[in-house]
Amino acid sequence: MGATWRRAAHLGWLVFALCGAAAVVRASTARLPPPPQRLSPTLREQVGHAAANQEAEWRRKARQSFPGDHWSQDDDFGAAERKWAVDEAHRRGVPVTEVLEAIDAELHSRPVQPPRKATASPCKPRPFYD
Amino acid sequence: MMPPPRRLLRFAHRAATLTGLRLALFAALALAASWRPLQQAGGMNDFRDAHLLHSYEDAGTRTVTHYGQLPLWNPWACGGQYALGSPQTRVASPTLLVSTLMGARPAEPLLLWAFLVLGMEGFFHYARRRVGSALGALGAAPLFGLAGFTALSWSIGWLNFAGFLLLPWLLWGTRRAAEGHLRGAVVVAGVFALLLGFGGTYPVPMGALFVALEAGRTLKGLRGTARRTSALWALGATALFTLGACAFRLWPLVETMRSAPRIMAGTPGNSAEELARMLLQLPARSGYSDPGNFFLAPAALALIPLAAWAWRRALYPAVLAALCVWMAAGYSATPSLFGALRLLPVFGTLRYPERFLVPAGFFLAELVALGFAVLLVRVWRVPPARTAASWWPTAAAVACIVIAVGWGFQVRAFDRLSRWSQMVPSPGPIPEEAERPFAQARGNRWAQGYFLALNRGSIACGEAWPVPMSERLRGDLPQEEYLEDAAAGTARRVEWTPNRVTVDVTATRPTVLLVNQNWHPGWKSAEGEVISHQGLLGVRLAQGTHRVVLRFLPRSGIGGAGVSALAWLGMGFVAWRLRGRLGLAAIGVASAPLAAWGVLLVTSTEPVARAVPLNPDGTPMFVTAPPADAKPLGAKFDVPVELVAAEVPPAPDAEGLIHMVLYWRVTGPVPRSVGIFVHLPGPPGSKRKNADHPVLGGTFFLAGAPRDVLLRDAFSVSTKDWDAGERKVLVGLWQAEGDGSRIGGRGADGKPLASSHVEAGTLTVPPKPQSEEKP
Repeated sequence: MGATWRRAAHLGWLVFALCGAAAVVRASTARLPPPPQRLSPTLREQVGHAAANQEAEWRRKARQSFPGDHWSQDDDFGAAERKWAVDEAHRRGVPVTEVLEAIDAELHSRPVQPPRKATASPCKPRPFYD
Repeated sequence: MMPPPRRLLRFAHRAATLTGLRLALFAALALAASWRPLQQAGGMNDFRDAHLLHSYEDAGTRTVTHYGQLPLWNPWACGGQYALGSPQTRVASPTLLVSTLMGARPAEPLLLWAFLVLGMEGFFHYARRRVGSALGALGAAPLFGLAGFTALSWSIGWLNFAGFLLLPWLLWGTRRAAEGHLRGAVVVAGVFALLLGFGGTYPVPMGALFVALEAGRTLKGLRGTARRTSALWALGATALFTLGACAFRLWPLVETMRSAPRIMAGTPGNSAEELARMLLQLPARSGYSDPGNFFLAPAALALIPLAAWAWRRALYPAVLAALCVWMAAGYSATPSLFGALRLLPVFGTLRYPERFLVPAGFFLAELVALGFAVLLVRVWRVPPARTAASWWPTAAAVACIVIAVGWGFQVRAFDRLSRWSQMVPSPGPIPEEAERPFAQARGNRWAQGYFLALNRGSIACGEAWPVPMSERLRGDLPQEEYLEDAAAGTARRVEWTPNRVTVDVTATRPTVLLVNQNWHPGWKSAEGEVISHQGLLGVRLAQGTHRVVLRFLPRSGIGGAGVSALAWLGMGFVAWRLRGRLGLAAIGVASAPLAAWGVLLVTSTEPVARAVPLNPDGTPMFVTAPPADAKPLGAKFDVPVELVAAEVPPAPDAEGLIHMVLYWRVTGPVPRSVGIFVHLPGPPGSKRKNADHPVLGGTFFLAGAPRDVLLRDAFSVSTKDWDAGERKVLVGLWQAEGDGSRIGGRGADGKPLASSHVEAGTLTVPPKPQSEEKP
């Protein structure tokens, strides 16, 4: 290998290392911080109750959408709950974790009565989706 | 002195062969393609699959960094899950080190960048040997390396599909191994192990398929029986080493899938037009599009016809590309190659045929490399005196421009598809155990990433396979470890880590300590007897005071890791003592880890987790006899299946739902294509309704159902939009994945079934209340 090609190879390795370093720096410096606000204890309780009040209707709709399929019903309920939680978090300008934590706290605060559930049906994905 | 085109060619060829320069080019292209993902590093992908898959990586990383343990058990998902036995986790891959160093979220785009570089470099090595031109291989490498599917996978959280980019390394390694090089065997074993560890649910079986074909291609290309024989020995040793090297993951996976088999039905298909759009159309600016999901720059594909000049070399990739496209058409093609592939073990769980466009793109890129190489050779063969008059140099210059433009389009398509990602702010750092002790929440699989940030497990689970879960898991317990009989004493958590839970128990009488997590045979305790308490992790204890230390030490994970270590030691031995020769002696060495595996299987004892077949409504699928009020039917079909009885309610329940049960018995082999039809014809003029289902209870194809047992097939339908009136329930069998024809049979009276169906009952749908009727 001539000196020119050796230099070219070294330059190549240098560029390769620089690209790698650029990827590392960019990945480690990018930030998407969550909203800093938190729910007050009172609001947390309100949010938990609001979700609990919706649960019976979400579950009724899930039973109609997936009759006789318990996992799919719970999954459909989960989709409705998640949408509500995200919307509620946006509305109140708080992280989604705050809303989900409020739901969790409400579930722990008193015995859960049917049709509400503190359980989830074992995972049984449907055999086809097409 | 050489004319300018020749000089330029020589220069370009030299540059292509220099690893440093080549990697610089690939790294720069990869950086440009992954710039947007890198910009979003640290954010949380809010797509549902990303929530699930990323939370696995998050959990594994947390297990290593917070608790100093290997990620064997994941208590945060599905009420507790064997991390190595879950096919889609990436925690058994060396890439976990990057996650632990940088954090699981920032590591993802970095891994994406690295995989892109690896994919291009791998393709270069493969194609250079196959087409015989470094420059041709270099030109086509970014077409495969920056294929659209990787960007799509990134966008929806399927980073494990980046494993497809290692396909060229597998094929390159296979060829080298067949040529007797240990390095080839090491690459094949290492890449398969990496792919399995990286959650390659599609890359592994598809890779195995193409490795087998590549082995055949290489064997065919060898001349002489002696060379072929030695190649066969070398490939045999490679296969054995690969099996051993993958044991750390393969054993847990096989064990788990046996206890919780996945059923995949349906007849997915894509028309030729859809496939062409997926492959050739530039994705939409927003990234939200099916077209372009597997994008391969069409301009560069224009070089493929030139490969005809080297038709012998072009034949294999051309045939393979065509077969892959045929496969990608799924059930839209007749006959369906994808349907045939699904009859094979493992391949039966493949869901999306269009993913075969990835290998199709690979072989098309090989043809582009070959076409480009043909052009370069033509230029080279032009006598120096005629260079100015020949049009070949001009064609080569145009081809170079086309290739470079093709790279640009690949980068652009990649960028567009990566816009699909729904990045939201990260939920923040995970609290310390002391600050916020672990507990199960009811959870939500659509938002699983948020629960990990709360140090809460999500019982709600949305995996692609039926995870063994206890119905007794709860998300509202005051404490996660408790006694079955609360009056029998007290239980107090002393220490909690993912793989080890310590509880002090004072029992006034014999009792069972319950842990709010799923049982798995890998859980061990020196104190008491570990049991599955309706699927919940439990320890049977005698009266007295106990310190129960539950440890997760799965035989398959630990034993499998030992077998894999032996396999790598074996490869080291072959390199050291056998000078890298992959002959009969190497086969002997490669067999040793597998023999050790066999000994472990025979000698070590661990309870076997058995699949418990349940209907979607949670009722058991096996019964000894139909209930007394079921209607006996006694129909026998022309395939060895009997419809024994049926339960059909006279009317829907208060919510308008009809819950039906059919009792089946399978007495012999049944084709997989056979499914069940349930037609519910109503009054004249009413809409036709059905409850067809190709899979019994969502659990068994008739082809795979246990023989000579009574199978209880429960299913339900909603009558929400049904017209009022009486409806018959007509049941029969049909070729659900075939031509759609019905299968005949005979009734209990021995007479042929009219229209090949059995009348299982009748029901009456009442008129809807006024408020529910449509205006």
